Amino acid sequence: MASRVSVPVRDEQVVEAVKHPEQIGLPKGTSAARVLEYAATVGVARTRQDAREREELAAFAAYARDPDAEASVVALQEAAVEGRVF
Amino acid sequence: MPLARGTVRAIASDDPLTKGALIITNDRWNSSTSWVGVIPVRERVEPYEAPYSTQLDNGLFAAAGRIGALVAAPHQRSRLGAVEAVLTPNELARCEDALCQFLQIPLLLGPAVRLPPILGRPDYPLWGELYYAEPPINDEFKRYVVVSPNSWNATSGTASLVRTTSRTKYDSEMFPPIQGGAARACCGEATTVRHGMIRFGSRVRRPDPMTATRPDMVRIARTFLVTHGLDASARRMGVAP
Repeated sequence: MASRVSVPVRDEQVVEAVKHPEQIGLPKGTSAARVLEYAATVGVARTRQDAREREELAAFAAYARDPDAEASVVALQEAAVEGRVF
Repeated sequence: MPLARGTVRAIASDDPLTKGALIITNDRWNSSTSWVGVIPVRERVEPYEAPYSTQLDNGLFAAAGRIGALVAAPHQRSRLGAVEAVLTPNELARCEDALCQFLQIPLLLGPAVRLPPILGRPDYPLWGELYYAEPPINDEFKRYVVVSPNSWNATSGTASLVRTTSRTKYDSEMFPPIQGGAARACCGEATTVRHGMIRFGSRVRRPDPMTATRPDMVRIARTFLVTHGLDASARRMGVAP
C-alpha cells in the first residue's frame, strides 16, 4: 500500500539527492518522488538496524560483565583443547 | 583491537591438525566481550566431519562441527595469535552455510519445523536435551543444551553445547528465554566438547526439565543468526525469519 504525504524537505543532502539521483545510485533523471521514496525506505531500514545493533551491544556488554560467562568460556576452551576438539 | 569476523587467527593448540581459528561471531559481540566464537581451521577432516566442513582456498578446512569459543588477548588464557588470513566473501559464505546446516537452522526455521532424527541407540548426548557438564564453574555445575545434530553426536564423540543461565538481567532476544522463561540461552559462547565432559546416561542427575521445547530450540536458532552472523546464510537457504 502506498501512502501519500506532503512534507517539507530541508536537509541539504536530500535536496542534493533529488537534484542528482546518481549520487545515491539511482539513474540520472529519476523523479523526485522516486528519489524520496527510495531515501525514506533506506532510511527507515537503516534506522531500525541501528536500533537493533544498539540493543545488541547493550545486551552483549551486560553479559560480558557476568563472571560466570568468562569463567565458563575459559573452562570449556581448555576442555576443548585437552580433548583435541581445537 | 577487536577481533574481526571472517579472519583466521593462529591458535595455540596441542593438536597438530589444528592450524587456526576462524572468527565467526559478529563484530558487535567481538567488541563487547573478551571472547569470540570460532570455527577451527584444520589440516584435514574426518569423514563424519565432511558435511559440515568447508575447504578454503588454501586447502585447509573450516570444521564447523567443532564450533567453539575462545578468550582473546589480553586475557591471560588467550590461545589466539596473529591474523593469518582474511577469508574472501565466497569462502566465508560457504563456512556460514556449513555452520547453518550444523546448527540445524534449515530444519528449525523452515516452513514446517522438523526435528533432527535420533540415530541408533541413543547412548550419546541428544540434540535439544539439557545436561550438566564438567567442569564446575564457580563451584557450580552449569546447565547446557545440546545444539549439534544427533548424527554428529553419535559419531564424533563430541557434542556442541550452549550454556543456559537463570540470571534474568539479560532481557534481550540475544539471550533467548527457554524453559518458559526460567532460563536464558547464551548462544554466543557455543562450544564443542568431548562426551566425557557431559553428564549423560541413565544414572546421572539431569536438569529439570531435561528437554528444551521445540519453540525454545527455534528461538536459539534465530539467535544464532545474529550472534554468529548467519542471517545471510539463512536468506540463501530461504529460511530467514
